[in-house]
Amino acid sequence: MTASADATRATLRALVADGRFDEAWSLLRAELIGADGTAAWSMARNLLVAGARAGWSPPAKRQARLAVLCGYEAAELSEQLRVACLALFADVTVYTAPFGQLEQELLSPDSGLARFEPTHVLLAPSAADLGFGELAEDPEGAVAAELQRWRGLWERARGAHGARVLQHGFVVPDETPLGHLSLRLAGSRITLVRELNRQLAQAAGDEILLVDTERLASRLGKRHWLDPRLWYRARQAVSADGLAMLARETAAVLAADLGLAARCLVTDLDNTLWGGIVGEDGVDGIVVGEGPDGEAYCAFQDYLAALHRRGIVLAVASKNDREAALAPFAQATGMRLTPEHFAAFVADWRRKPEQIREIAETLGLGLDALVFVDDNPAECAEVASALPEVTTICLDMPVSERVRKLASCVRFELTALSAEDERRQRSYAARAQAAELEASAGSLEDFWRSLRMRARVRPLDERSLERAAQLTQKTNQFNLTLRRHSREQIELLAGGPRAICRTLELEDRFASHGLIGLAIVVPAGDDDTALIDTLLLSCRVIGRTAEVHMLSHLSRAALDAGFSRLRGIYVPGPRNALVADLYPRLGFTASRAQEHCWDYDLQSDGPIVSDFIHDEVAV
Amino acid sequence: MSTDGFDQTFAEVFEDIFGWGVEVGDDDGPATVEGWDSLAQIRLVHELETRFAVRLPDSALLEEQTVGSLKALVRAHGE
Repeated sequence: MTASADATRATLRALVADGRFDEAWSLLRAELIGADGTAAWSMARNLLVAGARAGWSPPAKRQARLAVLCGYEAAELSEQLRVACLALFADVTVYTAPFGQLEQELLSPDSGLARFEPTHVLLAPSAADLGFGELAEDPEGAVAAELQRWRGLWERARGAHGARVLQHGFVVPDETPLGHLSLRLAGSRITLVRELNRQLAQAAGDEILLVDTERLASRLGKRHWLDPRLWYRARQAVSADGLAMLARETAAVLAADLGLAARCLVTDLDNTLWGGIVGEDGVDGIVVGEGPDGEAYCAFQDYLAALHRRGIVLAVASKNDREAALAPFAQATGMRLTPEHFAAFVADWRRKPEQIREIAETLGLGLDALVFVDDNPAECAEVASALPEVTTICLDMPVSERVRKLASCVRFELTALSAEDERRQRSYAARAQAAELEASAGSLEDFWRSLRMRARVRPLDERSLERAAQLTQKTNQFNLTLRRHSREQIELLAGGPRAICRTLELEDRFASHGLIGLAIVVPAGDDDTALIDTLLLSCRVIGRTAEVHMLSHLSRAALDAGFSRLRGIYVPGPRNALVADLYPRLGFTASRAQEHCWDYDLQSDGPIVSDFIHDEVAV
Repeated sequence: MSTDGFDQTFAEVFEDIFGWGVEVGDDDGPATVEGWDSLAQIRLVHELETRFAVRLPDSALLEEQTVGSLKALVRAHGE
């Protein structure tokens, strides 16, 4: 029992006593959709009973007829499915077949299922339904036989009954007499169940709605997923807490299939997208990007951006001056979302329900298609009360826990990447290209500036050594000397006296490119000259001035180390012609001392300047 | 937990499972409480275990339990 469930119980009964069923239901919906545990389900049953007596029923946008074919005792699952579907705006009539009668129900023309005429059939087996022993002699055959059984049931449900099919995947058993060896045995029960899940997913395509039961069981913990007492005594293969989770997630997949998934996420700004209040603390005073909380706010923004990429519309509802609300997007470093992510940006001093209503109207969406997130419980309560159809998620927990909270809300299920989603993804890519074209139509400098590139240039360390060696082995185009170094050789070079070794990580407003550059500089033989033994960039970032940025760091480091000259070598190879003129381009002159060598006078010309890339952290 | 708190929580659990307004005495059981079937029994044990943070013996799931015997089991395993 959670504290929130206790508070909910008291509030709920007060609301029901006043006949305010819609508000009571809104309060419970939040628990049913987003919180674990079973208390809310009991309360929901009672609320539905009390509501029915008073002539009230919860708002529903769609109806469906669901036949539940369960491998284990299904009464509780069916009951909870009905409640969970209601919480997701689907009024679903449930038929529960006697458990274990999957074939009989689907094949017999006068079965209860046939008479029920379902729109949807749920196949809900447990791992106990599988004919797998601890160690199969014919692993492929064992998996193929199971796959055939389930595909046959799918075909029957679709063909003979015209129903959409939902299928629970199988939970990989936790207990095994084979221990960790299981993983390496093709015929172990654990390998077979994993393989069956994989093949079921492959066979399901766009038509069969799979529920990833294994992921749910892992989330809850396998020891809590199965309660052996309930299995032996009542043939219930999933614990009470597990069933509540399973019902909620299954209902979410069904609701999404009925077109009832949320389409839009409306977010607050202050203390939701960043820490602090921008109107009071100023852009410099808010927390985002750095430090533990700053990173967590970033992660939250990243999660919203990921939802956006897969088709969820984002909107802002903030009590702020519009100018102040927009300032962090333009000025704060570490922001992941940009104003372009938002289809609606409402920042004024009206009450949040008014703002949200306006957003729904602007976007042409029903209120039930909206999910609202805010850190402030008072704002959440106001929205929940004034707009009960909106799903309100109160983020009144530490920011580090909020992605998990948001991810546990099941309103964002999708049954397939729709044509619309794909179009959106294409348009995303197109926008990136457009930005490039736009900038190049102006000037290359404008393009570089528009990328808002940030770099992290660091001395080589344990962490980056492997990747650095890999880069010297693999880089053929932007590679000045084509010297291939092993891990050990790099370590030796970098550890030498006065050696300078740097790696470069690059990020722009579209993506983080990771560690993509390496430079190794060693004394050339005389005291004054630093020789660039290795300078290379991954081809992902060619044409971004990253090389200038790297050389700018090298030139400063060389000066600091007491060198007065930087010497570069270009060794022609089959594919590195594009860097043939790199050094002269950057003001190096042909060395009188050696062929293919270029010298840069650090004393008279000063360090090389990088104009378009900024350092994320000072090195 | 005080006796008052104990009885109140017990009453809340019964109301959650069997409906708001349900009142039960220690002698009540499956025969006298409407809806007290095997499914309700499982819910009841789960809810009691959660609310009182106890692990009840398997015998709690047997249907010959009464309100009074369940209280005794919770007390015996809760301390």
